Amino acid sequence: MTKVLIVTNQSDITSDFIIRCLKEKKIDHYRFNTENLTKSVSVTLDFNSDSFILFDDILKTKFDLLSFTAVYYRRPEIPLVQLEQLTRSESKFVQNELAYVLEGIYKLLSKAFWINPVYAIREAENKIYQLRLAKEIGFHVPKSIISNIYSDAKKFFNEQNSSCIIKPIKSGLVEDGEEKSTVIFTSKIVDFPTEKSRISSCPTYFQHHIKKKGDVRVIAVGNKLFATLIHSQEDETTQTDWRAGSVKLKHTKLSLPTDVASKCINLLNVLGLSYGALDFVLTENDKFVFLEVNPNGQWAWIEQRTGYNISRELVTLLKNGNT
Amino acid sequence: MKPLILDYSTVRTGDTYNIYEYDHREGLNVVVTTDLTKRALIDMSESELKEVILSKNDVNANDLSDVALLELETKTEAARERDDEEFSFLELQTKTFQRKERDDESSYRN
Repeated sequence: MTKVLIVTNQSDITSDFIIRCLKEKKIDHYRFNTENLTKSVSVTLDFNSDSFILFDDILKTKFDLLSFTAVYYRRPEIPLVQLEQLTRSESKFVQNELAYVLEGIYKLLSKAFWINPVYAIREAENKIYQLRLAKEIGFHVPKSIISNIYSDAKKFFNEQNSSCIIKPIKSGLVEDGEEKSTVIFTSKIVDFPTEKSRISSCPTYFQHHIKKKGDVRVIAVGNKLFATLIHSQEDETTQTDWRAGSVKLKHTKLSLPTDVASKCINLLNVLGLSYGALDFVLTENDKFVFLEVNPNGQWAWIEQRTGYNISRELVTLLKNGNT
Repeated sequence: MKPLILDYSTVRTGDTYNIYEYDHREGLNVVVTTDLTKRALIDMSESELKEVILSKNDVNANDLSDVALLELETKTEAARERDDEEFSFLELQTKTFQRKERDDESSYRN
């Protein structure tokens, strides 16, 4: 009998879609908002009796971790530890203990079916690894270089006839929790710097700027693909990076060419993922150019804008697993 | 010397109207509507959400004209503690989406 554990935080609205669908299908489930561990959720892992229990103090309900058949891993947060009587290092210690317990809980659930396995997510997230893999699989990928050698970077920039973009290697958020945070979107380079240290001080990711018809997000759930064209070229602010603007962009359903679809599935299989959000550029001559795969990427807005029933597909997969 | 990539950072802007709360019993985020009924956030239409925002915030209706209430695509201005990853998109923001780039990350946040 299916029993689903949703591992996330309570502000994760995407998980709300899954919860709603699980309720509609009357599938037994528990939403484990991990930031509540030691607050409204307690844990006992008893190795003598092989009893591994979460206790929800609000629901007044015990959950046997080993009874879950499937896990939907979304956006867990490590609980914040802010006890007045603790020093900063002691708080950090407690927080590390909590993080490690969470990791242990995931390990205890290793026999369940996961969307997606935690360690597969972590490996798949690396954009350097992804791009190499995508190329090996046969996707078109943009001409790209990551370098902190000034001459190499400058040569690449010149070879693109100044049609070159710059993007973060990992994430675009610049923050330390104190100053006002900033973001870095994919941007077109106007002038290449003359000071070498501006490149040598940090490996920088450059790509050829591709003229596009639009951006494509493909949501892969098991072997089902939901492709959406995001009409990013309709507004100047979203042409280079569709996430950068504030306009509500048009979204339309899209059929993928068979070879692109099979490569998407292949990529996910190689990465050990049963879910992925793949981003492509659709070029002016209808070529799909792979940008990245996000093993835990957002899908709820795609469901809302297009009518694709992605939540139902995810719940079906959670119910049936790999069978 | 500042790395080139940092030339392209922009300040996140946008207003946030956090009008929902988590209901532990339902396992869902809910909104208390103007007639004091509690509804799942994801079941509410844009116009219904606007109505709730206007009733609970000192904000002009015209300022909400660009609101992307259920623009689930992304993220939120509301940085939470040391949360360093994107999370919910639906923190009812206007104008500029800022945490968008965090959308597709990552397996852990703390």
